[in-house]
Amino acid sequence: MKKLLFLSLNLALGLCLMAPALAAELESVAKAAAVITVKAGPASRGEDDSGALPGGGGASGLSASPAPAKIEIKINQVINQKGNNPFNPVQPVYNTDGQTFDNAEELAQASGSGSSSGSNGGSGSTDSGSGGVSFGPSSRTSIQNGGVEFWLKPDTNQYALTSWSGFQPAFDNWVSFVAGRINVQTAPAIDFRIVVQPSGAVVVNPGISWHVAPGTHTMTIQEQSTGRQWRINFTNARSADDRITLTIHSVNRL
Amino acid sequence: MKYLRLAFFLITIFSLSTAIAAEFRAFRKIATPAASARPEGARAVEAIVPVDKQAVEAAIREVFTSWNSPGMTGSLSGNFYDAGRLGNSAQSIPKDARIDVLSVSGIQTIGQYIQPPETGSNDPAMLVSEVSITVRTQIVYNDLDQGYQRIEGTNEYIVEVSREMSR
Repeated sequence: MKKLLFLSLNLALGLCLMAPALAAELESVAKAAAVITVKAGPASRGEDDSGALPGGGGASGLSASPAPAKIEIKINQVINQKGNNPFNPVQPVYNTDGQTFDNAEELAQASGSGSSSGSNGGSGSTDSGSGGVSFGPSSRTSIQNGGVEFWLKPDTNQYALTSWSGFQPAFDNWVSFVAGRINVQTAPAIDFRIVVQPSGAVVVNPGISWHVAPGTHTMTIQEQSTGRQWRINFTNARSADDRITLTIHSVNRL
Repeated sequence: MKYLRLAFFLITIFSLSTAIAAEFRAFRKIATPAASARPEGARAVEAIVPVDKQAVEAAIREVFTSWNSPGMTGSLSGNFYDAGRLGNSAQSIPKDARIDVLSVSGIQTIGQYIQPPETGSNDPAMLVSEVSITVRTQIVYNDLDQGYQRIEGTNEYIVEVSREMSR
């Protein structure tokens, strides 16, 4: 009897001491289960990219509301391309091309100096040879019925990239001009692939070539060997006499 | 006395084993690069669905209406670099300065995820998209010394667009 009493007492004491640890374990198990449940969400919703997200079209696999849903917008980052940045943390008004000034007079003097440096550095100069252009805003116009090509200078901070915009039926199909659009691609010989294509682009060769309409676009490229990515903002324009102008506004490493 | 010693010994053994067991059986999430780029609990989408460009353009134009007002920093996300400093610098903006949006272009959805509601909450899930927008703006105001000023600029705005998902 004494032994039984003694054993019961010890068991009760042990359970009391273990209770907090058991409770913590159960809580973490419950949390892990909740995480797993969220990640294994219903696959049958069939999210796809067949259309935009407004309320009206049922093409999107996500559930559509009958009326356009209200959206909330917050600014994560502002990347200066040219001139003033109204959200510059140091000086929202008296700033241009990444430089800040104390007053309007200094700003006017700087703006009138003829400097054309871009916010990302570089002189914005163009280059017709294989040496490439400086890192920064840059624009080139092709000859009539020709193409235009840009290289970023390879060095420790930048990488070689060819962005071809043009239409020349004499070359391979991936530079051909189709349905009034301009072709944009990376040279396959270089270790770059387009991972986020320009908006509204029509794929020609996945990762390498798309047709895009004239306008301003953003695309993301990835260097295959390192996994590093850059976001490139550019404008394609085509004149009435079939000249292509390609302007690279910014190249930002992600 | 013997029983007392045994009881004390058993109690000590129990508490030690409890501590060791708790440490041994802890759950630790293994972080992955994709998961670490999203907030905790967020779920990736299988394919990015572009947001409505008209709605985004209207929303970004709305953001600029609060420029040079107390609500200016309210349009910045928690990830905006040095938002506090911008809030202080905004005090130096001329009181009569206003900003005009000259053009909005290059609207492109570059990332997207689903933020489920808090456990136990009745709120709907949110579809959060990262969007790139190119906006050309012009600040106009009267400077006492330099006269009427127009300061133009073109910037790429990386914004976070949140939308409630239908249940």
